[in-house]
Amino acid sequence: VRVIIAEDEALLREGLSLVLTQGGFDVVAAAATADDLLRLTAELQPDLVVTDIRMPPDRTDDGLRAALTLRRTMPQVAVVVLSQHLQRRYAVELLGGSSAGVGYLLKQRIADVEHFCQDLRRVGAGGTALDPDVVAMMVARARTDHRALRRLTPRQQQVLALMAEGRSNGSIARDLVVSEKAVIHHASRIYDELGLPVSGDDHRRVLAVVRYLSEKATDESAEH
Amino acid sequence: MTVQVARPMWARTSLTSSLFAGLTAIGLSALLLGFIDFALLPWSSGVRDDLVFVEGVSSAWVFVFAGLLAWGRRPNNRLGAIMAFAGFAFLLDLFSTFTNGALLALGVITTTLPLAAVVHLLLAFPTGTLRSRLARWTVIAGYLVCLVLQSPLYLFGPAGAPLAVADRPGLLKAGTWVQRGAGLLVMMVTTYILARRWRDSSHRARRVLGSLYIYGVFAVLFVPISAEVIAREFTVNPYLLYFAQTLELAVVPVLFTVAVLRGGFARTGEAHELASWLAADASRPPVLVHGLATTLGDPSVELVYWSADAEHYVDDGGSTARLPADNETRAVQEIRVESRLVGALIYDTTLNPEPKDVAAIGRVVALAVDRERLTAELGASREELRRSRARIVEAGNRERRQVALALHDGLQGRLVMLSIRAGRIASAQDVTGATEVEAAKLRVELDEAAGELRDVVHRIMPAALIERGLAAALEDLADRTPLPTTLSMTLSEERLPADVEGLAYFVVAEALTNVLKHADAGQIAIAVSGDAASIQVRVEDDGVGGAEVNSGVGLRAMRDRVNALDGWLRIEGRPHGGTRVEALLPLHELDPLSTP
Repeated sequence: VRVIIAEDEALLREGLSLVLTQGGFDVVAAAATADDLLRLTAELQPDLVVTDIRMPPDRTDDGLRAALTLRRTMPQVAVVVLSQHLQRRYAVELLGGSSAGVGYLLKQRIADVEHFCQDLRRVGAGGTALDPDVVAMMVARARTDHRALRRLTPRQQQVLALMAEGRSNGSIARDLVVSEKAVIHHASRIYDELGLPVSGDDHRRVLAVVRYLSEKATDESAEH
Repeated sequence: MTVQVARPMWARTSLTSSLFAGLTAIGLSALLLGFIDFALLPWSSGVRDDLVFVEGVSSAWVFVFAGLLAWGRRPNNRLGAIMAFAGFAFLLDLFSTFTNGALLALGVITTTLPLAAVVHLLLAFPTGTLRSRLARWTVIAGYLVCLVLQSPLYLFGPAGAPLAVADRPGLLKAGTWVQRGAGLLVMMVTTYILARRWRDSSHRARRVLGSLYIYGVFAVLFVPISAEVIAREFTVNPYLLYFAQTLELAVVPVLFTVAVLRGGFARTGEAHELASWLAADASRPPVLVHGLATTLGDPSVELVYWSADAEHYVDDGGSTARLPADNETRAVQEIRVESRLVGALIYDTTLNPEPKDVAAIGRVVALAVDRERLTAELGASREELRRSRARIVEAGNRERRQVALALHDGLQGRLVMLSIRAGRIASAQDVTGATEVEAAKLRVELDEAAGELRDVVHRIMPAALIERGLAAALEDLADRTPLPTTLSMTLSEERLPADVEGLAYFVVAEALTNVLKHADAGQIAIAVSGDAASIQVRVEDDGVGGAEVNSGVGLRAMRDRVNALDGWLRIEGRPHGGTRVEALLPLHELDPLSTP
């Protein structure tokens, strides 16, 4: 998998590059600014881009804006955004209309090299990787005004969170040490309870769940 | 502060009553002269012509009585006298229509004298004196044209005309042309002087002078032009033309009288009465300035105070005041108590050409100005205190930001790197089981430390505030609040000044912390609204209430910071339980450089 890294801190940029190379990725370029990232991506056409949010030139949300631009103009390039601080707003913006080939992770996740590389490979293959922290925050927030969510069993809530992170049934089953069939059963109970459209496709599932979590409870099905 | 309307403050003294007697005598003689006109005018040459006579006498009286009014109100100003003189010239002028006698001769000699008097009046306005050499020569030329150059017109007139010494049509024609040419020149120079004065007068003086000068220019041009053009090109009854000219000139004293009633003229020389008025009324700055404006007849007058500590002038709000460079229209009069400088008057030299008159007024108000100076100094130190508080808040915000950025860019990255290294040791091929377990534990602990650091950075200066601004940061704050929280914002996503954004955010964050700690609330509502001038934040809960600004250190610190930026913060119980925290932050110190 050909990767471009964008990170303005030299130390972290090299560390990230080393981690990815050892994890079997082909790091074709490393950018220090959002502008460089856009230029190099157009030039080298990588499979995956891994970018920090706060970068030059403005040192505000430059990396995120570059990621959104890439999602719009070069949808074939998968994008993973790393940040020191996670926000629901950024997750929703990144997913946009499609959850294919997109990731939003806490920077600290790099340290868990094995899982980090797994998440990156999943996104590179067209999947989704939302950080457990941002999902947890969204679930906690949604619980306060979606009564339907509070009716889920603890195990169902676990499954829902893992679904929102972008994990496949197989991966969820391994994590929870249950059978894949049990995961499918939980998933369909969740769909029923929340009134979500049934979908076997992992990306559509992420999108539906995240939308449900980040929208205000307005429909009757969530309130009865 | 209320501005008091100046009360009539001029008591009648022996001086003013003798003036009154003199003015009455002049008024009576004008009446008498008018009645002589009425008695001897050649009536019954037609109703229309009779009306012209009535109008001629009336407008002459208008000049005289308007002049006497101005004279009485402003005894030291000669303008009223000039106006009255012009009125008498009109009354004499009417003698030229008598059928015979000595009075007719007087009328013939003074036929055009009113014009010269009007020119004098216009050029002497508003002080009654002729300030420039050009103006003086123009007025003298005007009188020469009307009295001396008029003589060929009656000396060489047809036989039988009064005062005619020889019937010499050639000389008559030449004399007429010379007088007309010279008269036209005088009118043009007058127009030029008035236009130049209007252009050079200060903005506020223009309000007083503008209409008068514009009309004056029109008036002096209308008389010769109507005589030369209208009378020649069209067949016009000469009486009718005279009627128009007289009426048009009679407007001049009316306008000038309006200016008198508006206080547009200088009334100097009654400083002792101003002094007694000042003693009677505790002077507040607007009243003092208002009194000075009335006394000097100059609405543009400014009063500034000398600050001995700062060694510059300040205005009554305590802000630094700059003196105008001495120029043609603005001048500065220093005010001293004994030899100590206490302030200065800035006035319009068009309205008060004599510095010594203004200096006299300055001496009278010196003590009152000194008192106001102390007040202004107090204002200045209060203003400085406010600024220094705002600077401290700004410095605090800047430091917060710098600390947050340093932690974000430096320390957090290092923790990630350390964690990666710990992980690498744990997964290396050649380590013992014990080392592997230790390294794995180390990695987990480093992750926890990084998490704690993230929280600290978030509390100091949230990432969303730096990256996206207030709206995004409040949304994130509401997301992380473990109670149902609604957030309503009528605020554009545009970035506000960093100080204001930061303060608004921390007010809400502190209020939320209080609710979670003490209120036992079921839900929270955050509302933010804003316009170009300020933003307002409100946090309401449905808890037990009872929060006060003084009860929480956090909110008290917030109120200090809000006050330092000229805003306010208040906490109050809601009618059906719960608490409302509300703050308003002005945006006036909007500095485009401070936004990232």
